[in-house]
Amino acid sequence: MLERRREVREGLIRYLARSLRSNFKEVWAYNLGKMSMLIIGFMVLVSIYSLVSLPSDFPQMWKASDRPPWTLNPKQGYPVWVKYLGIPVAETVSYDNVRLQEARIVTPRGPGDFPPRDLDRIVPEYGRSLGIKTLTPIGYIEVYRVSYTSTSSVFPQDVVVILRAKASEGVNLTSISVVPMVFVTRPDGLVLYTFEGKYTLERLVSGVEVKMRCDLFATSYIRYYGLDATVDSVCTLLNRPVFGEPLDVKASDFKTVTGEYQITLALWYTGADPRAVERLISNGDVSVSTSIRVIGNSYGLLGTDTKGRDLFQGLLFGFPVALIIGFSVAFAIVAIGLVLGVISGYFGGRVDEVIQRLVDVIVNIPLLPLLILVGVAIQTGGWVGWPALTIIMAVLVAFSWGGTTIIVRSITLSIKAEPYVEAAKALGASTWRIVFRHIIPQIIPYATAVLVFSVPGAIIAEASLSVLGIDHGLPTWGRILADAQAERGVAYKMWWWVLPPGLMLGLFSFAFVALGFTLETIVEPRLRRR
Amino acid sequence: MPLDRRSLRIIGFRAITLSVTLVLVLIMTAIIVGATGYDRVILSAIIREEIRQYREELTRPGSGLPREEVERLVAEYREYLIRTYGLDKPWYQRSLSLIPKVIVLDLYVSQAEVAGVVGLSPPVKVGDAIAVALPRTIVMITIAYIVSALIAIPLGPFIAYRRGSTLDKGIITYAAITNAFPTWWIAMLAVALSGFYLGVAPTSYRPIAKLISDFTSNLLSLDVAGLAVVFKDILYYSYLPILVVTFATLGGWLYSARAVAIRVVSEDYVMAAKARGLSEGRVVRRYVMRVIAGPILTFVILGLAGSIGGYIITETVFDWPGMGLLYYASIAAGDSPMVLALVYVTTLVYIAARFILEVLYVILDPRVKL
Repeated sequence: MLERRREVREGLIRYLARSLRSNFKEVWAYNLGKMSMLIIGFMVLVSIYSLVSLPSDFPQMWKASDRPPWTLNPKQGYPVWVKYLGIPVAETVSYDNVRLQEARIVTPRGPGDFPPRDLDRIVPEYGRSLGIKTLTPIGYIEVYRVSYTSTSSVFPQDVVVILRAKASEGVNLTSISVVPMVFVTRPDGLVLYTFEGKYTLERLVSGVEVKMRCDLFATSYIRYYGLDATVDSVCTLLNRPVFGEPLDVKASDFKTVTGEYQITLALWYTGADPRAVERLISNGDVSVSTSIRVIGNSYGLLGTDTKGRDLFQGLLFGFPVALIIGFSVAFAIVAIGLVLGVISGYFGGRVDEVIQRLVDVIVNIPLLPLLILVGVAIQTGGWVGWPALTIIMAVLVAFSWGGTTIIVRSITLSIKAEPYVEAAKALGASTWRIVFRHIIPQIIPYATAVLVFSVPGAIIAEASLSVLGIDHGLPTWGRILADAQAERGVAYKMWWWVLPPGLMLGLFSFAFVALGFTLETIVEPRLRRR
Repeated sequence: MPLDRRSLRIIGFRAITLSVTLVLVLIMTAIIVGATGYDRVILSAIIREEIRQYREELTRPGSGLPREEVERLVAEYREYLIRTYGLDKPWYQRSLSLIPKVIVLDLYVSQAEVAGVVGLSPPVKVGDAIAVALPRTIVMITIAYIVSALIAIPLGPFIAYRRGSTLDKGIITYAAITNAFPTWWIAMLAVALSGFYLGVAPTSYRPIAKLISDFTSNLLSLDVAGLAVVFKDILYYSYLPILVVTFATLGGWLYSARAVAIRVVSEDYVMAAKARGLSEGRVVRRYVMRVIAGPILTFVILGLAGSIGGYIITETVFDWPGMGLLYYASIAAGDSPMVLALVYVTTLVYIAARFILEVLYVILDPRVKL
């Protein structure tokens, strides 16, 4: 008995493998089928790439939109390639671990030497720049310089300096402080003092990002250009006075100054004896790595949203999620429909009656309101991420198996009436054997078509719920569109935000519907033939 | 048309199934809100509202109650309410008390901004808010459906006659594309393109609420000139939503009209009519259209009930102040009584629509079996 059952099972698996192979060939023979297979294959490949390339905590990263790496990207940044379409953009350029240009100990050489001439030798920008310097560096100073070329009529958004310290055990991190000073030397020769601050080494160990400050240079800037404007009005958009020159005395509009910019970072180590600091650094006991990033207004393959999040990465994350949601929901629906449909059709009687009445109720329930209710309830209950999504998927499955059950039941009924099933029964075949040998193999092709048809429904439902404001916390295509909807005033002007996720949703469901149609045309005549 | 006993039995059976469905949905709703603790939020909102009313009553000028007395009474009343609503009991005893209130919509909107969507200020009963929003949704869908029908029904046979032509292929592609993309995303693109990039359509549709009320008041006062002005504004605010919904639904309509027509145009009597030398237009009008109009209407109208949900989201995208925006606002503001009422009313509308359509179906097609 057990032996027989195993035989039946292996036969079924062999049959499935065979039919899968031949089905694949048949699907490939149709143009529509070929197209859908190519799209689905592409989606699977991208999903694998996405799983490999994105960090495992990407959803949490995406949610923390006020933290790096997003804060280091331009806000509402264009995709980088739009420059080939003739749209002027400012590039985002990252200078990672900038090489130290010069370092020395600056001290006054005598009573009249203040600010010391040494300083002018190592950081000539200090004396020449516009801006209020509250500190005069005396001690160990490191200087870093990078250059950035601005060619377009667009202002870069900001300059960020990222400092991170490493120190050996035993170094007193709180006694030594670092004062970063940032100067921007423009192509027209004007030097602006854009940053000054003070951090202990301890603070730098966890990393610090500093952005430009307008208040330092604004007053001298107004005097330099002879403007009739307030600090506030000059500083409304900080990047404009830095990368441009005012067009009128009111400073209501600016024009970019194009050419080569030089960004100078002077790191002044204070709080300890300069020689001791120099020794610590040359021994490698203390090291501060420096990165400078000019934030343009373009970033990545698909630009950024209003918070600077890379939309390409967001889109990439959506691929595996869409496949997982789509397939698991479709698979569950078909599995339930198959089991209940076969039971209902084969056994009939009271079981059939109960299942049919249940189906009557299920197909009459509107899904969306219930999904909304569940979504709001789990949101209030504090569920986020995959658990929340799983609950939504479970509800989707629970109310979607009705249609499949009806189809499977009618196929089962027609197969049950076939002479060879009667013959098998007369020969004494068990119910198990008839169901697995004669009924299920014939339903499988149909079930596959139903499965393929049901894949896009789930992901569209998820996207719809997101747009209605139910936040499960994962960056899906629907979530990205929901974010755009929430900030429609600005987001709708950013085609790179609204267009790609929707296109992917459409491509995804088109591929599966097309594959479903192809499978159906293959399956249909076969069913009729039998 | 008089109904025979068989049809009546079918209709009666449908009515029972649908009522059972509604009851089951209510029970499920109770379980969902109860098991997740969401009903606690809803009941607290109800109690807050009732206490507010009670306090107002107590502190009415002339009641002469000292403040301590008022506070004592309010605290007592709160205790009483907590006991009545079962907030001190486990959820399965408590949630059931919510159901009767939902059925008669005896709930209040708890957040002011939600009431603002329909242009009312609190205290607002959820039923009143829905009564304002629901017609706006139905009007938009109905107009788009009528436009689709007017295009699809005459065009169906025309395409069916040209099966396999470029036009036919184009229509199928169009149907496949609009089927693949969610309507609300097409709406997003339309708003972005014509509202934000080209500036030929509004970017927010909320003013339509005021325009509709202006329209009715002008209509009542028979102010023809004012009516024309308001109508022009209404047209400005409504052309894009109607266009988008029509664009998105037309594909499906054309596809099903074509499918029905293909079956009919190859029928013998149509062939015979053609053989008699009648013109194509005459054959279509006299012999094809009459037959296909019924099936197409029932077929697609049955889909209407199912697509109400989809329009809710499309509305949100347009900021169109109907059911969709009401949903969006109450989810965003955490207005739980409103969410519950909306779920109930949407289900009710869906089930009622389904019932009416199934009755129509039985009447139009006597072959329908149980």
